[in-house]
Amino acid sequence: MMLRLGVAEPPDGLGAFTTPRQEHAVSLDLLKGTLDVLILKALSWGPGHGYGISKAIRAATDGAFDVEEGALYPALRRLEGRGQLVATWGKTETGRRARFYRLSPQGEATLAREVETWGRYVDAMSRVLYAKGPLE
Amino acid sequence: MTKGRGGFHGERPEVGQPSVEEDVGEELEAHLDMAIEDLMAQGWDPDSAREEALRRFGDVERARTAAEAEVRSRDRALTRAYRWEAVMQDVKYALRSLARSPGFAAVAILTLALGVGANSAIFSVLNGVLLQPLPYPDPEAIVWVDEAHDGPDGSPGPVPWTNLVDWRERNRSFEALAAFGASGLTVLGGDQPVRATVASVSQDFWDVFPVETVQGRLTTADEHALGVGPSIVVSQGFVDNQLGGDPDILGRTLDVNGTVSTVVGVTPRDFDFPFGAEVWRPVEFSEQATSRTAHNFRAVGRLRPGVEIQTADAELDQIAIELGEGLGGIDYDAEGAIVTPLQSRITSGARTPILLLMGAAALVLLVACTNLASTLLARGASRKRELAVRAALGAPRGRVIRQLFTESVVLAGLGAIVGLGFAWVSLPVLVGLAPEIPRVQEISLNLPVLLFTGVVALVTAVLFGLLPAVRLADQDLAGSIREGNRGNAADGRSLLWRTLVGAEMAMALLLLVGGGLLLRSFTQVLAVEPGFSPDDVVTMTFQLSPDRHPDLASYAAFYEGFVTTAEANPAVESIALTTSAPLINCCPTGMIQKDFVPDPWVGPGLYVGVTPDYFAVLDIPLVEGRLFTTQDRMGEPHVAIVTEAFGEMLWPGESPLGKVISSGGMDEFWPEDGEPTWAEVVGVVADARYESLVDDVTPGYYFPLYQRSGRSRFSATGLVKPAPGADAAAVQVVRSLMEERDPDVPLRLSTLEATVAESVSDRRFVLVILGIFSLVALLLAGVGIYGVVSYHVARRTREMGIRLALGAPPAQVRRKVLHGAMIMVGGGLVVGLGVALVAGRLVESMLFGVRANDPVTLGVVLATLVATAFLAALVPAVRSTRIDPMITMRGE
Repeated sequence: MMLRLGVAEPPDGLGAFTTPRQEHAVSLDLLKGTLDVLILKALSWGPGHGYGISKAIRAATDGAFDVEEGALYPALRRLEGRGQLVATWGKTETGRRARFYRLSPQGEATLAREVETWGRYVDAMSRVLYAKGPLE
Repeated sequence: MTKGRGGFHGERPEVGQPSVEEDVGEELEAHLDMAIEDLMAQGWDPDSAREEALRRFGDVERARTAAEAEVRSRDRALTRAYRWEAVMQDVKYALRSLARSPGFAAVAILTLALGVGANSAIFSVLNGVLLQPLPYPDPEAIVWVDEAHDGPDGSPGPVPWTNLVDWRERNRSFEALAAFGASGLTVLGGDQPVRATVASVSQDFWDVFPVETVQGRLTTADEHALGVGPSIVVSQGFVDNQLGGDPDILGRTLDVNGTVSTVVGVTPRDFDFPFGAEVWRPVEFSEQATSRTAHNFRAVGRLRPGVEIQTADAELDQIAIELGEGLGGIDYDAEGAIVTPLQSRITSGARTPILLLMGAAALVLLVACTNLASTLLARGASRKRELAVRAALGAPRGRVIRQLFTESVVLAGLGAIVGLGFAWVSLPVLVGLAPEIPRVQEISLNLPVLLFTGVVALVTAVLFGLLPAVRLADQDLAGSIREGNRGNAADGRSLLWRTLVGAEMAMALLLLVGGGLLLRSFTQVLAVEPGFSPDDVVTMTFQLSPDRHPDLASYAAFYEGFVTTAEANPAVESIALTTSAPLINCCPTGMIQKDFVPDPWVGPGLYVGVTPDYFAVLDIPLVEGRLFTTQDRMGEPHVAIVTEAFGEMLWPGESPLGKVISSGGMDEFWPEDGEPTWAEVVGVVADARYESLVDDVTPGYYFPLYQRSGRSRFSATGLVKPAPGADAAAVQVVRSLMEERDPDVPLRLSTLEATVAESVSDRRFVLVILGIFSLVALLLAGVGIYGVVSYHVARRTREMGIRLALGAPPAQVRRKVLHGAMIMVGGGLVVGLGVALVAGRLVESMLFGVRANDPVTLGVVLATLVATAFLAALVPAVRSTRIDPMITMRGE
């Protein structure tokens, strides 16, 4: 089953992107934080531009997360504004001009924190969801 | 990386940097291009590839807009941070700069503190008394109602009970209309007998003032009935001061003026309407006078929501007129009603003095600002080099101005903080010294005052700081670096200096004229002949209990016994009792009849009961006939003594001796058959001022206290003249005598001199404050002139040095300096004089015995200012002649 990741309700009503892709795709209102963490993680594998990041995420999750490509850009700009990413215009291997992002030290620290938090969250959820009964 | 382009949009876009839209757009375009490339590499044809790429991308427009929004919001945050950083930098720089000249900073801050502090303090008073709404629910609906006696809106006065009852019944404009009165009555049952301010209020009163009780409740409608209870409400202050803070006060009984009353509620400490009341009792308990001319009550009301004051006024006017028409021949003198907002009624007397002081404080601050502006200009001139260097290093003009202005703001801010400290310290002193200010409990350094101070500080900074900052930034800075700090000998700035100094002089003149006029008024008031001699007279006010003295004979005997015993004591030279002493408990007046003719009445006239020694104690001379003796008592023929003015008024050109008068309705000797009691005039005495020193003499007559009583039979004032040197002993004598004869009678002791002083205390208060302000302004103006002239001399040192070297006599150089200074001053004085003459009208109401354009005052003030200016300019002028020409010629 694929989870659709979109931009979840910015207050100005831009709303979530909801172009359903496959029958099994479920549109979830996931926290903005999820997309942000994926971006940070993707960039931890090396700097990249927006298109590259979307491919990386898709590949890493084996297609389970189908990143709505457009949603990346507001997130990227936001993370850049917070100082977690640093952006520069550069050239791709094919010589095309693109905007490259990389993690700043602050971004690295944030990623580490988020990984730990998610880990604990997943642990707790697993415990509950796979428990046979309340007393176990 | 391509130069000149990049992602940081923190600065405002300058030439060469891409806009937000371009940047985001290019990025998204790049994404789509790469996606299409990949798809085409997988075999898609260009058009389908584009379609698919767009499909996978999602809503391009939304992505674009969202991304742009993120960028913009960050840009805004960055700009804010940047600006804040710049401001902090300016502030730090300003503080450092001030620290480098601590002398200047200290003087400037002190000057500002005085100016701002004075304004804060006076504004606290203005705000608390005049601006803030009354602390009752829906305060704008509460009104004061008078009866009009001279047309529907003239001669406001108290209202008779019966009229008020009818007004209440017939009106549609009022939610509640209540009668009230207040007097000092003896209350027993507390720690000791005390004379408390007791208000008698009608049932609607608590609808007009629905205060929240601290304990218990307010009196209800059924408790406001004839003979019921009475239940009373007391204030928390009364409970604390007189009842030992008793927590079980509810249900306790107190003897109020002879009537046993039960406490049913306690009002909060700061509720004291009317007249500082501490106890409230239902007026309906006793039977009220039915006469429609017995003006015994005041009235307050609460308008119905949405009803305008004019509507209510007009309605009551109409009702009053209709009542009069329907009454036939019964005595009725109401011609209408006057409805005014309660707030303005309470504060009207304080309005002019407070506004005057506020204006004066503002003037002082303006003078301080002008001084500072001149100082900053002068200081700035010596900083030209520093600023020139900064400009050369690339600081734009706006930045330099902002920096200089920040210095002023910092100065003003520091001055305001210190000023608030001054105000905080001086406010309790101010309020303590001040005479009866209405609503004094609401004066404090609260939020509105703090906001006001902030605004004043900012305006002050603009006034004294902006101009010098702009001026300075406009220097020919490059030229200054070359020339050093010299500058030209003559430049257009001398006009600016002249204006500043002239303005200071004008404002100082206004303040001094105001102070001078008030001072003259004050001395005039004190010079008034009161008609009696307050010297060495001790006053004792007291009130006998009605149930101990059931009839006239009883208390006449008490009075006589008291006087005789006290007189016998060697410590007491003489003693008299009276129903109303001058300035203390004025002024029972009524309509008088004369010559055995009951109609028409004449007057109004004062009627005062006195014991025989009264005139001796107060030194009121006898003009004709005789004074009272102890023979004039009950059972003897009724006699009276008239004042000179009254005699002249009643029998012009004739001697009043032998004539007869009566004060119908005013004393209990009005027999059933309606025949007034006629008293023969046996003496004429000189006039005396009873109401106040500034009002005209009150004409009237005196009657013997042993013979009749007047209306206020139970309260009397004793006037005691101690034997020389025996002041304390005499006080002790009367105290113990009263204690002996009736321990339940509270005595209030004072001196007549103190009472006279108190009657002018409000004038004195305003005078003192204004005097302080004027002196501060004078000092500041003097310092200002000194500073400006010194600066001029310093600037022209070279020129003067040359002149002296060429043989000019020093006196001439000095004269030139002085001449220039006095021209500056003269201009300002002329303008100030003009304004003073025009503005004089505003304070006319506070003057007494002087006109607003009093030439003596104006002359003295002008002379003082000219002399001060001359002296202030003299010092630097003399210094200018001491310039050693050789030194000036050689170097800077």
